[in-house]
Amino acid sequence: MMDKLNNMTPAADCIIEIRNLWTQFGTQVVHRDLNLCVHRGEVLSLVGGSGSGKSTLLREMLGLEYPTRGEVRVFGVSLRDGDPLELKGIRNRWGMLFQEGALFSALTVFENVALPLRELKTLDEELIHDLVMLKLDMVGIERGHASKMPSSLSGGMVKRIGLARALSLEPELLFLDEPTAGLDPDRSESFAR
Amino acid sequence: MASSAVPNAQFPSLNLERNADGLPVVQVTGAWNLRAIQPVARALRQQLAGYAASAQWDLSGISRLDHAGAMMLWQAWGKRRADHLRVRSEHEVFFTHLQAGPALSDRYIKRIERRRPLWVAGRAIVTLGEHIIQVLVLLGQVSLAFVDAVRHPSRMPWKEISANIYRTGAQALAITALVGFLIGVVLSYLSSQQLKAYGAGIFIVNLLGIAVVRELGPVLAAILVAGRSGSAMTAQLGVMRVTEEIDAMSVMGIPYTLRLVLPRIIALAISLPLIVLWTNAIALVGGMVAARYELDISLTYFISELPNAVPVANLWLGLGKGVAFGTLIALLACHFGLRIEPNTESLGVGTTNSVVAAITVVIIVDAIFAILFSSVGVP
Repeated sequence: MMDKLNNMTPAADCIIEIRNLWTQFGTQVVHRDLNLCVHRGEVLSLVGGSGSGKSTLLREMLGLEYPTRGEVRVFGVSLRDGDPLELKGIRNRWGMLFQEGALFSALTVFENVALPLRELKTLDEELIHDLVMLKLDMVGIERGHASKMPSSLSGGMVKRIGLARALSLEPELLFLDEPTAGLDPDRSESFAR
Repeated sequence: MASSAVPNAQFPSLNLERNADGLPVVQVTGAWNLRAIQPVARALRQQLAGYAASAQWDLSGISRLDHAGAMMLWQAWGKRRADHLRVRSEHEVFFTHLQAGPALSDRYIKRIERRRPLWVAGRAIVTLGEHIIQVLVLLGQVSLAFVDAVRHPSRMPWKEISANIYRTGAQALAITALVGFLIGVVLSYLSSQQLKAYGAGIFIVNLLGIAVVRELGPVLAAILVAGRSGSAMTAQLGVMRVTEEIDAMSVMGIPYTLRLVLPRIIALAISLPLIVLWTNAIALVGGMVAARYELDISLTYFISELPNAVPVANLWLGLGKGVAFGTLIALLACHFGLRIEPNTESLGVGTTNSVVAAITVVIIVDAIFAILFSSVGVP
């Protein structure tokens, strides 16, 4: 996998651009001089054995962790040295679906999906309400579940709600960590589409 | 994405124009995605409301559209498709989505429970009853596990007991010493000032000795341990509940009362009296030091006078309290830990309740001890 990534040449119009990235935990090198470029409209899947550094790379692309050496740029902004205001703007342009959904357990399903929209502070409640209901409908969650707490839902539903939340800001860039694990085959199929 | 001759394709805009037949047409142009409409949402909403009566809409000038923009227009049309609509073919998908989408008329209502005072009081009493029953059940299960372990010593969780004694006892020495020493100093210093006024300075030994050995040492140690180890136990068991570790143990046929609850109770019943002894000693040292400077009572006099002033029954009473408090703190901590539901809020509430309940019970039991043993150890 690493060879294939290394053979790509960084281009100018990269949405995600990784240059000479090294990740080391102690003496163990996880990523050795990795280069990667993701273009607009491209769908990239990271495949590899467990422990090969997929999740670490994903976390580095999201700015949750920093690489030992090298640079990660998303939308042309460096995640490590970028202007804090610009970085804040970027965080509204991407969506992330975590492996276990990472729904806020203190909020209902509706409030979970509405949270990113409410954080914009400019949209009125009616628009937020209708948008949330639309997103929930798009991921196949019935409206009866909207007032439930995440702890009373199955793993597959939590995941779909996580997707609705990741999509709520109409992101230009969507990160999915193991998106189909824990879903029934039918759902997996429709997820892929 | 090049827009058709609109100067500011980056911004959403609305214009009312007349078409060839002289009918009013709303021209919607620019970017109508969430990022573009978000800063000017309120103004757009007002403008849209003004045009809501129009029947003709021309959306062909929109450069970018997403669900948020489409939803805003959709709401302006009364949550249905406008009668005469011109829209680019690539944007048609959003409106078909909306048409096929959920019924938006019935609103999601957050259920807010109305709580009348009587309901709250009744609920509190029922909850208290539930807690008492569950604690008794847990106590029964642990007792059975204990009897079983005594009959078959190989099943006794020695390692867990030892680890818990270390965690709740040895690691608590520093904090109990600090608090004990300071309380001793403060108590001795304040009492000395009063005793000096009556010229009864030598009674500081009786005052401090009885107060610390009989009451303050055990209660102080118990409160500190409840806050320190009780909360840790509740959180540990709570996280094990959340991550289904306790279920995993049950499935493997390992009784969690024997492996998780029993060692914690035994460990705290052993370590708390030792902590009490330690706190007593340090608090008396603090008292001695303060008395040395405030009343000029020498350390040798204080130590030699102590056995005469404080009958040894007080020490046994204090240590007995330590055993009782330790058992209760661990039992309550485990009870609250096992009740935790798999969410973060429950974990926080459970841990808080565990500490509050443990401290309250410690003080109630201390009062019971005081009444039952009122004639013991008093010279």
